[in-house]
Amino acid sequence: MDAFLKCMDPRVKLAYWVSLITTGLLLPIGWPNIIFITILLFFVTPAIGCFQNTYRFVFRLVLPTMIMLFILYSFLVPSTIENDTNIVYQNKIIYGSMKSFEIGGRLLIIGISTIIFTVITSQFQMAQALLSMKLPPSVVAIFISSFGVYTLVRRKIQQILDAQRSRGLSAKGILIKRIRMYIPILKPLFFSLITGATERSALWHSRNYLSVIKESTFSWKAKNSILILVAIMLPLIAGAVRWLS
Amino acid sequence: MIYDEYHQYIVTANRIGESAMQKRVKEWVGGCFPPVVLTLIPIGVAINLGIGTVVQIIKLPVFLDSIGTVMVAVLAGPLPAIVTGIVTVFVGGFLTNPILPWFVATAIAIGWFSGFCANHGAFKRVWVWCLCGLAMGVIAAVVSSPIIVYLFGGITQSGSSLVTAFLMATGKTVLKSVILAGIACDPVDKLLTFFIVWILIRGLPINLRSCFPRGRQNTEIKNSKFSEVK
Repeated sequence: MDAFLKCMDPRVKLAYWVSLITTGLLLPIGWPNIIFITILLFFVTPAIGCFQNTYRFVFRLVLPTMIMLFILYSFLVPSTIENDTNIVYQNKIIYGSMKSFEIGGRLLIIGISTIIFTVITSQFQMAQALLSMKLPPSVVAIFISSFGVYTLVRRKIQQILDAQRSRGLSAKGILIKRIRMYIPILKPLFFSLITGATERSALWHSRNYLSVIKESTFSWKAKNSILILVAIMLPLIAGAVRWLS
Repeated sequence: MIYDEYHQYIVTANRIGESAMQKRVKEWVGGCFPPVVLTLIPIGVAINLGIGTVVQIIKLPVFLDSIGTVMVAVLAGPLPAIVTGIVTVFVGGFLTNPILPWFVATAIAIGWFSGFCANHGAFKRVWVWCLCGLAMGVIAAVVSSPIIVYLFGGITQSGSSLVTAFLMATGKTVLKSVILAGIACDPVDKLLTFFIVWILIRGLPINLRSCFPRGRQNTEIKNSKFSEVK
């Protein structure tokens, strides 16, 4: 399954990304939503090999948000205030739980769909998909080179942070100490990057870089049309389920 | 080579007039940005994501995740800044936080407003960029509030959530609480962003600033002692 997904046309993957998010958001809160999230979380993500990324996302963002929402809506918000629906819940604990599950479910659907998409799509496949959608080659070039420059910047920042730690500064402690650790990162990083920009642009200019990424190598096949139809059907089914319930 | 190209661009602009210059700019945008802007935008993206990650590691009480966008706005104008913001949220969604692409509207607002302020001389006077920084904080708070309410129910993991929770406990609606909390906290962050960009841009030598389309015009005060622009 992993190999099949990674070899799929990136335009189809993009369509499935949008389709999964729309389906998840259209499904009514309750058993359909729980089943959809369970399938994504416990069957699809391990099959693709992104369970670790999803696990980190769930425990660092989704669960803390759900806990804070539960505390807020169960204990802090006055019971007479209900601005999302006209129903006033007698039991605030139940309302707080429902609200936290609703928001948690939404975050899970969006996060898991995006993680699945990013794991099965490389940046070059994404660039090919953007080119085939008639975006200018300059925008695609910006998109690809952003990944490379970000890796370079992370490495430089790590070097400067390690140098700061070796001088005795740490990321723990009072605010002023932490700011003192942060300030020396900015100037050398910024100046080296700006100088590098002018040199890199001269390099692109001399190599006529944009002529390399003019056309997409992906051609449209019959199976892509079938897959796109399935991607369109999913939100329609979700909409029908919501309408019927 | 690049300095000569842009010096020629400025001389040509003065000679052929504004409407023809707008046509030339349209050609550039429709076809591609000039090469130096094409290389500046990924740097802006990387600065946004890198500095934002460092701030989280050091646990500072601000975001500082738009320094790259504002820097590109000062050096190249509003359209490259908007592209920087959009690419930042999508690349960030790929690499760091899958929820980031939903804040594309905020990124566009920050890019456009900082470019607009920079093109109108905000970075030439201290009090002007201070005001613009505060205004940008308000705009960013207002634009991102509906997204935060829909995605997070009003509660993110930043310090402004405490203010939101307090306001909701006093009886205000979720949207109003998030907007007011954002207006209380975001202007400080954006003011700091403008301050850092101002310091960094002023530290660049003039010949390096001239390599970028708006680098010199947006930062140099005319008829000053050190100005060569008359």
